[in-house]
Amino acid sequence: MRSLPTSRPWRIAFYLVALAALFLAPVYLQSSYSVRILVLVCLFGAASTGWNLIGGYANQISLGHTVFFGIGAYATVIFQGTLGLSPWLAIPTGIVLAVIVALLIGWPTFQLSGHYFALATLALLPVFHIIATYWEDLTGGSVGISVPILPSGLDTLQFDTPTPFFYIAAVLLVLVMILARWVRQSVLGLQLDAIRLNPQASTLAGVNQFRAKMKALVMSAAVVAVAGSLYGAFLQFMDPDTAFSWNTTLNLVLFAMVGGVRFWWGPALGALILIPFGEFASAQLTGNLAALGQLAYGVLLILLVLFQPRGIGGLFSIVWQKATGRKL
Amino acid sequence: MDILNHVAQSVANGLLIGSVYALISVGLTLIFGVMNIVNFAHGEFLMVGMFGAYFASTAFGLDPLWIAPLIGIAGFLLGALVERTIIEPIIKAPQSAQIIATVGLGIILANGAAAIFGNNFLSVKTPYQGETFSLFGLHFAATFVYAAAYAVVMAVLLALFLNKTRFGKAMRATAQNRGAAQLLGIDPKRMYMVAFGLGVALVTLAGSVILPYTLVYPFIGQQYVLIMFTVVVLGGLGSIRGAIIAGLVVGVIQSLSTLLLPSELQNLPVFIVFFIALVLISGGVLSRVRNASVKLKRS
Amino acid sequence: MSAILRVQDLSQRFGGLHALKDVSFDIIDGEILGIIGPNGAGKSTLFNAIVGVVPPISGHVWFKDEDLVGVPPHEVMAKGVAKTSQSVQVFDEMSVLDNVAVAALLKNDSIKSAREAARGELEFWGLQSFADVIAQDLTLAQRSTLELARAMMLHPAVLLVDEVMAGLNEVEVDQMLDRMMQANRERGVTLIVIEHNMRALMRISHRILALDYGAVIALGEPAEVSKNQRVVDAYLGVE
Repeated sequence: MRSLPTSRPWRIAFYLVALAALFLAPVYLQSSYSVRILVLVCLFGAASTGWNLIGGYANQISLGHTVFFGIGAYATVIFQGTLGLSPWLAIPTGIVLAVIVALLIGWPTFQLSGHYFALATLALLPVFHIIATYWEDLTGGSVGISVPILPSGLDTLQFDTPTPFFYIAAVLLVLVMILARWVRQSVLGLQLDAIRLNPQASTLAGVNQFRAKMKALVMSAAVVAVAGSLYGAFLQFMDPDTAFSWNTTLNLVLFAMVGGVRFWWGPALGALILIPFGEFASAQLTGNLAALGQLAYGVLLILLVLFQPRGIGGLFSIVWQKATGRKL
Repeated sequence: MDILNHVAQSVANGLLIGSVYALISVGLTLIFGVMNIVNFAHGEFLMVGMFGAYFASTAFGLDPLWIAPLIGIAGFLLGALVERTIIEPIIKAPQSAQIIATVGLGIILANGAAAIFGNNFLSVKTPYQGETFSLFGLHFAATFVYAAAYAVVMAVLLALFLNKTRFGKAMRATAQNRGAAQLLGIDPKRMYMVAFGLGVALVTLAGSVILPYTLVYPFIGQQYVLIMFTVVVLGGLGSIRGAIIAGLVVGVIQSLSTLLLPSELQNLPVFIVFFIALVLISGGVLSRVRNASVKLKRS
Repeated sequence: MSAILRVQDLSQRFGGLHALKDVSFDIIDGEILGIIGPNGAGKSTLFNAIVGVVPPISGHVWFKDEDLVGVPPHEVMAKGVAKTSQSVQVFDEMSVLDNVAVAALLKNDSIKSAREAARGELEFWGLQSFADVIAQDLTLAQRSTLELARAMMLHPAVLLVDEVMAGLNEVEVDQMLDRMMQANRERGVTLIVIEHNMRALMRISHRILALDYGAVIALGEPAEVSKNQRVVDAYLGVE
């Protein structure tokens, strides 16, 4: 073995440094505005990593993951705001509901070609927007639900500064990334990779595509629902436009594409780059020009597909391979 | 009698709106049939057609119904241009790349419109907006009747093109069997460009035609996505005749549902139809029905 | 001489085209059956119908007293009837080892043991030194061999081989034939081989089946089938 920084001790050292940098971030980022942005990076980074389990690993593009996110988010504000229950109970509730929706969508569409999954997931979004708007008793209708101010603490997920919440979000991100890495290197990961690369060949190799995709989708929906639940707790407010926004889906897809869908760390990297950039852009662009920021996202998506479908991770891996002679 | 009248009125309204749904969706299924690509920007192209007509109406005082054919032609050129620049390079790429690229295209179109026209609900004024026609004791808003008339005319023209012209026949053959274009000696690249252009032309024209009875805003495409997808999935992805029938079915179901449900929820039964269609297709039921009907026709 | 696979009245239809017309024949346990026929005769359609990739509209495929028609293809693979595809289908961006390991997952619960099993399979096909190479960097002959290795990793009782020798040179063809015969002899796999390369097919087949217009026109010893007038006519395109 070469003594290049590809060996196990080096890799562990790198992970430790990255973890330290993440958890010490509130110390060197003094402003609470920056910490808030970092919370968003962690939550959306985790959600995008979740999307990637089915969207990237298996290449089954979901355009409806907002729904899982929104279900989680509503679960929190309904539990905390309407029912006066702990947000921690909302998380498993959100997971269960999101998984049920995922099973209902995956069951018919994964027996068919990929077109139907993408179509069905996109069609799901307006339906949940309608439900959230109309079912006022549960969701507060288009006005939404606000969580009253409660004594701060871990049990209420309300804090005087954004820093404690950042640590919760960061733990979620780390756990989700560990899950993503584990899946990547598991039996399921290899099967998903086979499906991604060549669906016909994976059938001939004896892969049960339906079951593999279902497993990935269920995990994916659960992860996104948890991120959504914490997002609801973070905003302490939810309405149909916030919960079931097309932009959420767009962001999850974009972060993964930018960072690299083949890598377990890709979506988090994408979120780390794009969220601060997006915040900066939306601060600069006001009025009609605000749309230009979103337009740039559209351009970015097309450019990525045409010229760099493997994202930044793909560029990394080329450089890495040249430098070390090994695959990333 | 009163209930019967309600139901009859509702079915008639459903047929009118359903023919428009068919017009909106037929381009999506045409593009899929010929190119095996789902154009996720189809709703945004509808919005582009609406804004095109809105602009013509407010800037030059042109009626959306008169300007619609021109909007369609402009739509064709836009579609052909988009096909050449964005779709052509990914025609053989994995499905996921095609999805992402057309989603990206939709985002560009919607936010481009938002940057130009602002994020507001807009509408046009036409002299016939309050008019109604009466027939057999039923009443119809003129705007819907005109839109439906356009849909019927376009369906006839499309049928003539696909059945009577060499290029159209080749297109139909390609939709049934990829590679047919080459066998018939037609450059597939040209066919893809025409198919995409035609698909966009139909939906932009539809956008112009529906403007007299609806509002336009940059993100309205999203609201039509569910209806479009339901129509093309129910009709069988790639089937033009299927999309037209499914358009009418969806229109009638949606219209009838307003007898029972508040109008805000009128898309809920549409989604239920969509979901049932998916389940039936995945169980192979729809294809068995289709095979059976083919056999019946033969015998 | 027992039949391991029994194809009975298999029919397939695409639109107006009758691609398979009541095809029936038996495959004897342990034999190598060659399938010939002009382009469009229905050879690949037959394979796809047997394993359920494109299920037939009617008929039966009996394997160990069980009808495979209606069984999803991945389950057919698991039951012991494997297939390679007409144009080489491997996982391009995966290592050669993992290409085979995917199939090894059928009988191994962990990645580690699957990769170990895959190494053994690669050795049989002479690909062991390419284990860490990305599949798209292989030559055509190696990719074809890789697909065979992947299919054999499923430990099938019957393997359907669809034109695996297309585009290979004489030396490569001979090497592949040797390996296929070795697999047949030593591992007891029954082979059904579609091949345009008549020399190759004559060399390995115990029997040959000729298809034309979706129907069986001849079945028997290679020498007798090659003299059959209908087979000669079909190949010369006599109306």
